[in-house]
Amino acid sequence: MPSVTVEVASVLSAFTNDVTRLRAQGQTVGAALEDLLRRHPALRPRLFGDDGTLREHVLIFVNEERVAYRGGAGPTLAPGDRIHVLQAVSGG
Amino acid sequence: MTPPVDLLVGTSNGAFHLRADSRRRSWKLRGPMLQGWKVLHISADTRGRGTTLYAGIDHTAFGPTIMRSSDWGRTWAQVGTPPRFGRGAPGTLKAVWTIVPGRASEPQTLFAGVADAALFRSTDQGQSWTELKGLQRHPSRPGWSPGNGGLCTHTILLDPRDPKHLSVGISAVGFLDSTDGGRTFSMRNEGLPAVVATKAHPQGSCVHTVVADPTNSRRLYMQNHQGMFRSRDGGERWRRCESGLPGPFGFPLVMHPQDPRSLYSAPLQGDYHRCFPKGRMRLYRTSDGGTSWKPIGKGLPDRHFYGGVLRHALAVDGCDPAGVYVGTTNGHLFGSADEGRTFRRLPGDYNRIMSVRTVPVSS
Repeated sequence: MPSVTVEVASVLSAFTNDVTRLRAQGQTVGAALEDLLRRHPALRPRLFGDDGTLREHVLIFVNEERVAYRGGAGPTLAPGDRIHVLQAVSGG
Repeated sequence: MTPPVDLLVGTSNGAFHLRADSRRRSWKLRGPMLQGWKVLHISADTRGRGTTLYAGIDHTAFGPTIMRSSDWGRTWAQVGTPPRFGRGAPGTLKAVWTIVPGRASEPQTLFAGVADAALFRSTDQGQSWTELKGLQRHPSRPGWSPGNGGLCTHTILLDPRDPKHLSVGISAVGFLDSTDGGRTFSMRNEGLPAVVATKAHPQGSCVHTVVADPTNSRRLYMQNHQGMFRSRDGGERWRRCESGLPGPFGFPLVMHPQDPRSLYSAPLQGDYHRCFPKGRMRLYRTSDGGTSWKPIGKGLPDRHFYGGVLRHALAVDGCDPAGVYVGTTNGHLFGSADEGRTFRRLPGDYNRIMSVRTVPVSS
């Protein structure tokens, strides 16, 4: 199973034991996030709404490319991939 | 000797802790805590061995939740199961507006008021939260309309003598009273102006803050969107009490810690301008239970001050003479150690100040 890096926005560090660079395992973005959330359950409601979909203003990047992930399995991962969990920003 | 005073300040970007010396002349500022998060409300629970802080926070991307700290904000953790609506609920969790420690007789219990228009209770020191569904089931609920801040349950009053009796204030719904611990609520808007009248809820009134006399819980005071009111019968009937105020509009209202006939308010120019009238910051005080109000605040800005005060951003401490603290929407923090006669700037320039709370002196 691919081992990947997940970097979360610094504002989320209070939900990940003050660490923003984390390790996760999973064949897909969804599986890797699920693995991460098993170890950091406080993070789940910050990323996903009550309906189980990704919050509207949360963005997922894989290897610095934005992926259209809102929930479920999502794109396939390769060993060493880097996932970034960021907030949508707009304006100047 | 007066004990030190602790002040908790929630802003649109993080929270801060200020501690005064016993004379309340010198303040030490610590923070920011919870940086990047909007801190709508921060409160202290002093009923246990130590002091536990609770913060209702929100973020555009990552949503609202409740954080808890048992080391004066050095570290924070999300409560185990934050407030969450069940399936079929009429709204979604949009903000945590207030967190209130329960009565002294129920040291494990806390209450949280949230948007949309709901009341949650924790019976395990904030670890898990369950909705008290009396608000959701109220017959007029389909007609409830939000205020500018949403359908916010911002005020929770607990009757210290009756564990089943509690009341809430919701914008722009009204004042609701429960005598069965939150299973059912009665609307108590008689005498209040209707600001958002709908067919299902013709008396919808925009309550901004309500405070209760701790010596007589039937004696209530309310800053409403459309005026200042008081009730002598637990909210059965409200009457205006605005003599001396520069206008009807404002958000906060707090009671003097030793004198329940003495209250402080922060009237603003009006709902479109939400700033102090004529650019002059003044608080108002009544010493006769709302019959008359007088301006106070020597030392507050006299001109070109274009900020306001939000509902949780005015506080008093438990000292004698009482301290009065006020934070503004343009990020200034002021304190008075002489019951509000004179004010000084306290350390720090902040973002929009959402909440100013004192920690009970007895801690």
